[in-house]
Amino acid sequence: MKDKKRIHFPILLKVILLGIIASFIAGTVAVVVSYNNMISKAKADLESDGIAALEYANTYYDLDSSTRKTGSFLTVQEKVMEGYDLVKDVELSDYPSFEAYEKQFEKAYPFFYPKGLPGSQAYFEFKGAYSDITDVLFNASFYASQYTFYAMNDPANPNRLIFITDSRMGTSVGKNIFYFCVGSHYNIKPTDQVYDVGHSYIKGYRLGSYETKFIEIKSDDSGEVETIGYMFVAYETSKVASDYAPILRNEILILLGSGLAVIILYAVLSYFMFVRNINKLNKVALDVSNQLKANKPFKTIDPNIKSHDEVKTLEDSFILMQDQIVNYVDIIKKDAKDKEKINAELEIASKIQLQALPKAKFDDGETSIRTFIKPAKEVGGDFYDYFYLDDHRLAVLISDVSGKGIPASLFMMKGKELIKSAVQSYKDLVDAINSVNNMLTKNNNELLFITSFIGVIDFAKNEITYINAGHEKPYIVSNNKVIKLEGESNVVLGVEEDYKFKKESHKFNKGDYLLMFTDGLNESINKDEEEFGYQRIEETIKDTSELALEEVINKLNDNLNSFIGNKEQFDDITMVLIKNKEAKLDLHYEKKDYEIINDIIDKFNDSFSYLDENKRASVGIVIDELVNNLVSYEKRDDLIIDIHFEYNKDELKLVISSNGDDYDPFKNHKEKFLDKFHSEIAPGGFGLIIVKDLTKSHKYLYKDGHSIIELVL
Amino acid sequence: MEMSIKHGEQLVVALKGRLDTVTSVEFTDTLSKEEIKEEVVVIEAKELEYISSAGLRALLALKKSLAASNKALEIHNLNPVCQEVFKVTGFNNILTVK
Repeated sequence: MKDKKRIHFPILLKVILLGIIASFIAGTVAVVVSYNNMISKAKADLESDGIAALEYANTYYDLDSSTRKTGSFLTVQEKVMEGYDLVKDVELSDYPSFEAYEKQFEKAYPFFYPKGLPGSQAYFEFKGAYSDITDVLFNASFYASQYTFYAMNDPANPNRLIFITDSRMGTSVGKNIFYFCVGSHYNIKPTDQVYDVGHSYIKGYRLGSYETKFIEIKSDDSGEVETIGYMFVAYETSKVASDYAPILRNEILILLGSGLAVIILYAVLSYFMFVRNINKLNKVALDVSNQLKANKPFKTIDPNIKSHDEVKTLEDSFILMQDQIVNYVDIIKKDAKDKEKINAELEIASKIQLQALPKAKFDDGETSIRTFIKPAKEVGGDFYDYFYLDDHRLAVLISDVSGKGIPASLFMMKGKELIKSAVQSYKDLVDAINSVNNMLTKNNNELLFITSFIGVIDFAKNEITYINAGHEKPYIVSNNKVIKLEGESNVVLGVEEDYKFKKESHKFNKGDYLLMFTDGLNESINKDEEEFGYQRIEETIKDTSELALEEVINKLNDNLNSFIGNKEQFDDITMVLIKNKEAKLDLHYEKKDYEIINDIIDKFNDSFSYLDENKRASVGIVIDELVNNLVSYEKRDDLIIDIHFEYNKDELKLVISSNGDDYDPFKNHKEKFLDKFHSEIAPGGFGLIIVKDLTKSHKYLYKDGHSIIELVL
Repeated sequence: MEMSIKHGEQLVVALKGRLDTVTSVEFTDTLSKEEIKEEVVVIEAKELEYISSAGLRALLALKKSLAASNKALEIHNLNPVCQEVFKVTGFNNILTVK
């Protein structure tokens, strides 16, 4: 997997960033909450102040009953209506400007202007009433620090109020002719537009963003109580926000400043309290990993952390881990070295073991031996051996040690040497194996054992004597027939002291071969867990008398491999094949010389060394006599002599054929020559007496130009 | 064939190997060159593997030549095969076999 290159983001930076985010959120929440509270409170204060002002006015001036005060309101209202009537028909278009219209209004209605008619009855009446109203308004306003005003119903429009005066204007009323509050008294809408009401010009009173509260002013002058006007209190909550804006700004600035200071402090403290230690640990961790990468000898590095917190705990663990790495590296190195050594030793052991086995191929006059061994592991438990006990007796054995590996191998070496020396020392095979068994059984605490087939082949008697100590029964293939070496299956070697082994023997003729094997062969299984089994072995080896032993091994291996397929071999497979060679010797000479006699006899002795001395001596005499005759008496110089020896079933067949004359040497010689011994008898004559005496049968024939003597000894 | 000749009270000729067509010639040649003072010639045949008719003839010739000077020939320790040859040829009657 590819490592994504990521930007390194140090912990200290994270700490600072986290501080900024946290203080920003906390600050914002604090500011917004306190600001909202502040504004709501200010707004509520304004409203309650307004209500208090109205209540004050109502309490002290008794606005909702017919009193002098309401009389003032009525008086003012009457005067207002007079002015209203005066201007309502004025055509605005008759005046060049609003100022000109105002001048005209001032002329027509002078009492609105205090400076106009001072001292007149109307003025004082009006001024008195007006002052009453403004007193009320002013007092209320003063009481509540609120702005108050007074308006009356517009007779021309029930949805409109006519502004009369307010707490700020004092007596300077009429300056702007008439002010109208647009809308009903429940919902006064702000306006600064000039409205055309009938024929008069009126100017809307601008309330802007003011909110209002009001009380009704009632009068019973007409006999019944009626609402004559309204007293308002107006307050501007929308302005509260902008009034507080600078405060908010300052607060934010203070917050930012102090927040920054706190963050710096926080970062500095964080650095000294733990980030520094984390960095130290981090640096050491990097050094450690660099050391590991560089594959240098590993050294423990102490991060040297002074604090007593989780980082310290981490450091302790880290140092412990480093120590353990050093430790483990040592252990691993040692293990690897040991393993290497063990592997090398196993390899040597395997070699020694294979060297301990005799050659895979052996040939001499009597026998051919071919072996096959395929260990499942490096060091196996199978072994075989063969060695001559004398010139015509060959000991052969095959064994399988229980278990695998080194212990089996050691036990095998011991077993092999014991069997060999015992079989060589004891005259009787039974004594030898009894002794081997006892030696293997002693101190065999591991309870290893050996299955073994030990045979002694006598090439003179053409017989095998054997002891089967719990081993797979071998086969003899004789004239293409398969014979299983049945008989006593003794106990395996190494388990029961003083066990009396029983031997068997079986004919093992010239031309026969013996197949010994270990259970790796018959117990090899295929993917269906089926065993190769005896039957398949028997089918494979029947009709193989004419095959060379290598070919038999190949055939067995081919059949085995195609049977097991690619299933893994789990046991050693060992096969040993021993052929009792057909004893034949053919010699050919194109030489008329006595020297060939020695050559024939030497070669015969080499090939048939297992025959007994007397038999070989007899053959020598017969050859000497007959070949001597041929060389001495045949006239032709281009004499060709062929000698054929064949030994089987205790009989030696000898055929001497030559291209000489048709002469039967057995025909004319004297049976009893002794009487005439002192006279000159035919030379060679009594040699033939010896020949006849030493042979079981003799025969002469002449065939296809060949003079042939056939003898059986 | 190996032969060794040892002079003494008797002349002992020890034979080893085969006394046959080829070696009997060597046997006769060697003994004819030997000056024989002893009264008795012993053929020590313990290690003689076998003897053929040519060997028998060589022994017979030796016996004849010794008899001419009143000397005797004895054959000692023949192996079974050689004994058989002596027996079948009747040589055990004409040669002193011990």
